[in-house]
Amino acid sequence: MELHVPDIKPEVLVTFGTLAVTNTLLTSFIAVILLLVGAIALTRKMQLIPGRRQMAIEIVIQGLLSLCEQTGGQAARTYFPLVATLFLYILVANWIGVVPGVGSFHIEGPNHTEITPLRGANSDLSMTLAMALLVFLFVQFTALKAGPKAYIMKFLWPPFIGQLELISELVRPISLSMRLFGNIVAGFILVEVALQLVPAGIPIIALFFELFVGVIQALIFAILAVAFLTLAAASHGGGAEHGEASESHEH
Amino acid sequence: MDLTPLAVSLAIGLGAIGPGIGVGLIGYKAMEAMGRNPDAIGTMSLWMIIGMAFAEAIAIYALVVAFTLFGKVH
Repeated sequence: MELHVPDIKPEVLVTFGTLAVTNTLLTSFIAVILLLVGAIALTRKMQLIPGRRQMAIEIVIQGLLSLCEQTGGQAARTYFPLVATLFLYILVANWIGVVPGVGSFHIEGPNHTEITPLRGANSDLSMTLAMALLVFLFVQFTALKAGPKAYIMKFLWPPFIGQLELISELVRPISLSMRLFGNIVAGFILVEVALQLVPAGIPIIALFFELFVGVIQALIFAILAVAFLTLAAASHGGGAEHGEASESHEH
Repeated sequence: MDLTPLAVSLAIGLGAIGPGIGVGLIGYKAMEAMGRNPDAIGTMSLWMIIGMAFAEAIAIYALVVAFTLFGKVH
C-alpha cells in the first residue's frame, strides 16, 4: 500500500520570474482578502452604542487588548496594533487550513502530476519565518530606541554571559517560527495520513484538534511578541513585569 | 548501511521524552493549584494551556527534524 505523506515544503504552482507562487501563498492571499472584507464590513457605520456586528468585533479587540495589558503592562498598548494584526492574521490563516478541501483537494496537473492548489498558510516555513523576523526587527528597533549603549553592552559584558545572551537573542526568531510552523504542519500531515490509514473517525477528530491548535498558536505568537517587545523597551530587562520576564527565557 | 530511517525514529522518539514529562508536570501543578483555589480556575486554565504550548514546542522542533529527515529518505 502506497502511503502518500505530504512534503513539509509547499508545492510551487506558478513562477513569475523569481517569484514562485506556492499553494500556501495563494491561501495567505485568501486570508488577507477575508480579513480586509471582514474589517470593512464590520466597521461600517460605527456608532458609539454598537450594533451586533460591531459588538462582535469589539469583543475580540477588547479581549486582545486586555491580554496585551496583562502581559506587558500599560505601556504595551503601543504594540497593540502589531500584536493584534499578527494574532488575527495567524488565526484566520490557520482556520482556513482547517476548511475541508484545503490541503487534501488534488487536481490533475500537466504530465499526470497531482497538484494541491490550497494549503494552510502557516505550513510554510517562509511564512512563519517572515513573521518572526518582523517581530525580531521590531524588538531590535525598540531596544535600540530605549537605550542603545546599554543594549549593545548587554551582549559584550560579562564575557561569556554576554555571548550567551547574543545567541539567545538570535535564536528567538528561529524558535518563534519553528513553533508555529511545526504545530501547523504536524497537524496537516496528521490529517493527511489519517485520511489514508483510518478514514473513519480519526481525521475529523484531528481536524477539530487543528482548530484548537490554530487558536492557541496564534495566541502564543502574539503573547510572545508582546513579551519580547516589553522586555526590549524596559532598559536591559530591569523591573520585571510581575513574573512575565521569566517567560522570555524559554527557548 | 543506511541509518536514516533509524535517525527519523530516534529523533522524534527521544525528542518527545522531555516535553512529555514537562507537559505532565505543568498539568500536575496546575491541577493542584486549581484544587486549592477553585475561584481562579478560569485564569489558571488559560495560563496552563499557554505554558503547555511552550513546553510542547520542543517536541515540535524534534518532529520537524524527523519530517525533514523523512523527506530525505523518500
